[in-house]
Amino acid sequence: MRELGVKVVVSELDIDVIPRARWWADGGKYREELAKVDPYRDGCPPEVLQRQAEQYGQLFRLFRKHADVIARVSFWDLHDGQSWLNGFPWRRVNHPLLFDRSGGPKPAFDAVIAALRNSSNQALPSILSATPTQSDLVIESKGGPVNYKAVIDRNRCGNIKELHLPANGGPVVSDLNGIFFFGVQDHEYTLRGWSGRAQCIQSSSADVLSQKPGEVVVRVKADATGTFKVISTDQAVKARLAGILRGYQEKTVEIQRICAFKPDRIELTDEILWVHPNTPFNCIEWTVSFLPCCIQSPARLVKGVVKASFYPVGSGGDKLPKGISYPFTAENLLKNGWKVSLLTTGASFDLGKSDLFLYEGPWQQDWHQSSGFKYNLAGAPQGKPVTVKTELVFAKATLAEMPPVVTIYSPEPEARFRDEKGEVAKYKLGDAVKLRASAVNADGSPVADRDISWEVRIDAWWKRPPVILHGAQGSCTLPEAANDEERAAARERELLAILKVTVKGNNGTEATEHFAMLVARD
Amino acid sequence: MRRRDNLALRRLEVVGHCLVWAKDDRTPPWFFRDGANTAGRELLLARMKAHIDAVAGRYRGRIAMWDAVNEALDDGTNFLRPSGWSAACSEEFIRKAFEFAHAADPQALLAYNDYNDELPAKRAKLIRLVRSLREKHVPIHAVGLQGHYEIDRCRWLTSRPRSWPCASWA
Repeated sequence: MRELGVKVVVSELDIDVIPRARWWADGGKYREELAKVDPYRDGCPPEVLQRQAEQYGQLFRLFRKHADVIARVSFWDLHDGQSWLNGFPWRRVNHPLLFDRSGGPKPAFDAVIAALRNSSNQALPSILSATPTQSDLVIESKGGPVNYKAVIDRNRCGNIKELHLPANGGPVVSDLNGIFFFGVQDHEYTLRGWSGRAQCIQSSSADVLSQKPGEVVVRVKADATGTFKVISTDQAVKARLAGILRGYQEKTVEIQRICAFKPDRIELTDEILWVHPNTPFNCIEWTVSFLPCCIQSPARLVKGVVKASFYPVGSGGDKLPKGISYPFTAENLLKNGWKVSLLTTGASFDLGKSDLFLYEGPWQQDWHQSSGFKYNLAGAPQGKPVTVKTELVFAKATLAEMPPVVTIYSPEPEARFRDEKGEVAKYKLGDAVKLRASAVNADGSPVADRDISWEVRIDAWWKRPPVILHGAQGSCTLPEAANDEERAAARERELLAILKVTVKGNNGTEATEHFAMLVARD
Repeated sequence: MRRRDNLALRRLEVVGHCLVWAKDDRTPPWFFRDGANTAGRELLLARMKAHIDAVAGRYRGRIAMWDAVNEALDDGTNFLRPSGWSAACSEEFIRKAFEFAHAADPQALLAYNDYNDELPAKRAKLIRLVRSLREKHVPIHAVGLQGHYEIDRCRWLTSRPRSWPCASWA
């Protein structure tokens, strides 16, 4: 089944304690005799329950061994009193499941639990699995203390378009491993491309290279192009570039990505194997984009102890020397109490000129938050493959580091900016807006009113100081245009109001939460 | 679908069982009839599509995995179980069930479900079926092994009783 590319499900599990196979033997001639067999009417003897428990244990150890291809184990009903084997193929009192008729656990239950733990009674690490669907590859890490689900888009350069952390929660990330590439050529034209954008991808494949319970490795290969924009105003330059840029549009870069999925992390090795000669190529951005309302505040930046120049890693992937602490880590704390840490673990060029960046702002769907690396390729050798290694580590946030979780109730969610055509502004300048938020500390206690404050800005007047209010609730009047310049701006376009709530937690942390909304034109 | 919505809140996955149960005693007799005659291939497939559209379509997006086809393999010497399904459509009804189910709920994973798959003869048929479906790019994602086992008869397990207990009551 592994070779055929399908998962195995154990779908209707039970262990009959009154074997039934003879019912169908020899043309059914034992049926009259068997129909009277009902040996465990008054309860199942302990030695039979013990044998059943041992065999359940053996089954689950076998399932555990092949957990990478087993998508699910489900029982055929919950307790012995409900089992179909009380009536099939003849009436008898049966005991096939993990729970007895009163709903209590049987020896079989303990045997299954023991089989799913290791000898030291610790929870086992998660088991990795890969499930292909029509256009995606779904990687799941399940069964251990950290569990997640990643959906890889095979047709878009292995873009991880969904990350669920924990695995059974909703998606928290819309683009986990986006590569943007940029360039400027002699002030004549610019290049921009994004691995997550269908128009940029000429060909793309994602294959499972190896699959073990502790690791799934996926290789992605893609040919991509970018969009070119002539910035020169010189007609002669424009004419010369027209022909050149058509050639680049066929293929600008060849990308190979090796994604190693481990129980609590994803290790990514991204290589630009080939770049069209003479293509301007100065910078790669490597980005994690979070879904709106999933992340609490901008990421915490953790600077490494040692500011080390990165050890060059060739495209063959030499091991990095141990003991160097790399300077770029962004810890993104999710509202659900989990944490995504993003760090660079290596590059084929000197990272001295590169930056970590955080972005927050109204874009696409509501308030957009992302963190990533801006790799400056000025130090990279020309014409050689470029490699960057990145790690995404997943963990539960500790009580000390988790900021308060903030929820904005008013303005109402319908007023949120969504960047959709035809969106109607709910407020206009001069309107009073009711403000109401709540915040809960990491330890579950509510945040005091005095530790909550609001800032309200209108985008055309970002130079003006914001309106500031204190407390969880209040009311604010959106300022009217005060001079001709402002009045003209308010007539010309819809404006954006940005509301920012800042909350101080009782563990010394601080949380911010934003709300952007359209304001109607005058 | 109150119950399902409650399950979603508790983050439990729901499995759908089953869209086509390829046994004549598990399919209403009218399904195989066309007036006085036996229903032909096209009518049977149209009825199957209507059923799958109605059921899988109703729960679209809310079911983690559907058993698209249940128990279509024969226990004897045939490849497929003799039934109104296999008589009219041969292997095609299995293919179509997966295709209709995928169209009705593209998010749901689809499984073929059967029993006794641990017996060598039936296992060979199962592999033959899955290989054939995969070669034709049928959207099958999993195989369900029912796992209705009997005590002391899980012969493939690593250790087993030295002697098979002789059931005195049998």
